[in-house]
Amino acid sequence: MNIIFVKHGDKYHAEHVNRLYKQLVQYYPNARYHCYTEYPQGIDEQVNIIWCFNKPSLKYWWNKLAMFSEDFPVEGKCLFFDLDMDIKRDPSEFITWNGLTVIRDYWKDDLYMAPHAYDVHINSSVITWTAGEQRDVWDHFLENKDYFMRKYKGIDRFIVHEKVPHNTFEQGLVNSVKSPATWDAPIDMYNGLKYELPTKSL
Amino acid sequence: MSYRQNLYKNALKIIEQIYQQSKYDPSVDLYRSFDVMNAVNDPQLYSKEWLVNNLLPFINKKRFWADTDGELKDVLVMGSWYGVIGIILKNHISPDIKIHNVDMDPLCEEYSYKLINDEYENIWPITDDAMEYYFERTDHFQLIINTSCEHMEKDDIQLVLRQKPYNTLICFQSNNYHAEPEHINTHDSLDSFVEELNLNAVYWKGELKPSEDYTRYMVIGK
Repeated sequence: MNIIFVKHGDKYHAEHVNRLYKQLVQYYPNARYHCYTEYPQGIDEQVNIIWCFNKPSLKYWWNKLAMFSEDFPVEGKCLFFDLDMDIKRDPSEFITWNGLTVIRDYWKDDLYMAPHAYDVHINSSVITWTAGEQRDVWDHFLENKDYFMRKYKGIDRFIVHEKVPHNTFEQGLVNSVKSPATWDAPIDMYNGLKYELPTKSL
Repeated sequence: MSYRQNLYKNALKIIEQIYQQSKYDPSVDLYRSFDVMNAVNDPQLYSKEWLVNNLLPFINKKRFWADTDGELKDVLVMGSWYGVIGIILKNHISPDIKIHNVDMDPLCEEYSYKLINDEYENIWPITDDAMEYYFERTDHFQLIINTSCEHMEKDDIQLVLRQKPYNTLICFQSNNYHAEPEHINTHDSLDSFVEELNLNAVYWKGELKPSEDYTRYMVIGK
């Protein structure tokens, strides 16, 4: 199994990668760990560096879609985590591989969404898929990437509104720190909040 | 009617059409209407009028078109979006000059025709990768316009400049709007943009602040 992180730009730094790696390696000691980044300095040497593609150049979260490219050098099962995730305990009971699988964002259950808001009820902070099976997602994005990046604020909206087949994990995998859940989730996520870690170890 | 009034009239017609169609057709993309609005907003038109005003003195000088008997014949607009630059330019140049508007977004072609609305001759909206379109016919154009270098890879810009015939004039724009996710090649200054282009000759360079959010840079040269 591959566990993959994506770090691009300066919102997150190597310590976010290293902390997540140390948390996850307790539960997944045999996994291969990768970080897709343009700036690997300070990342734990146990994490394999996959350099961001030269072309196309993408910024921020849009780089996550490159994981689905046929040129992304991994094989087999893949498990992705955003860097603002804090692993509290083993999440394995919720992690499944069934096509492209993402989180259902319970914190938007009561939010009114006009169709032209293009907002969605999924979140791609945790994703599972099998390498090579989602290349259509990347290829479709490349067909008109500038338009998609203008139209959608992120890849969650792209996935839903471009009708990418997907499933969601069973409820309970994550707790949004900003909108606390009623369950005891194995993962805290800091979406919409600053998730700062000290950089002194770099 | 001024060109702006015409442009707004045609843009409103497109927006109305999209809205009406969207009421009963779920496949209609409402965001297109917002995108068309953005293409004709004040900063966009201001930037493109600025380009045309500064490019016209070159277009009107025969010595720049020595390879085609002193006449500009074919203009390529790379990443033309809805073709607004061609419409503005056409108000000032001969109807015989052909403008090739190339954009990879297939809907740009459809809406470009609607914005032109049969009011201008020889503007050709084309769906293609602008780089590929150019490399298949590098000798065909005497002038290349690109108002969105910030969307293009540095390597690709360099490739265009290396492949073009020496006398082909270029008019390129970029900006310092770093925050936009789709802006992958922005610059902190006009000098930085000039340096990246590394032209044999820079005839004109300047900057414009069309809104509080960013500064636009422009270079005309060979």
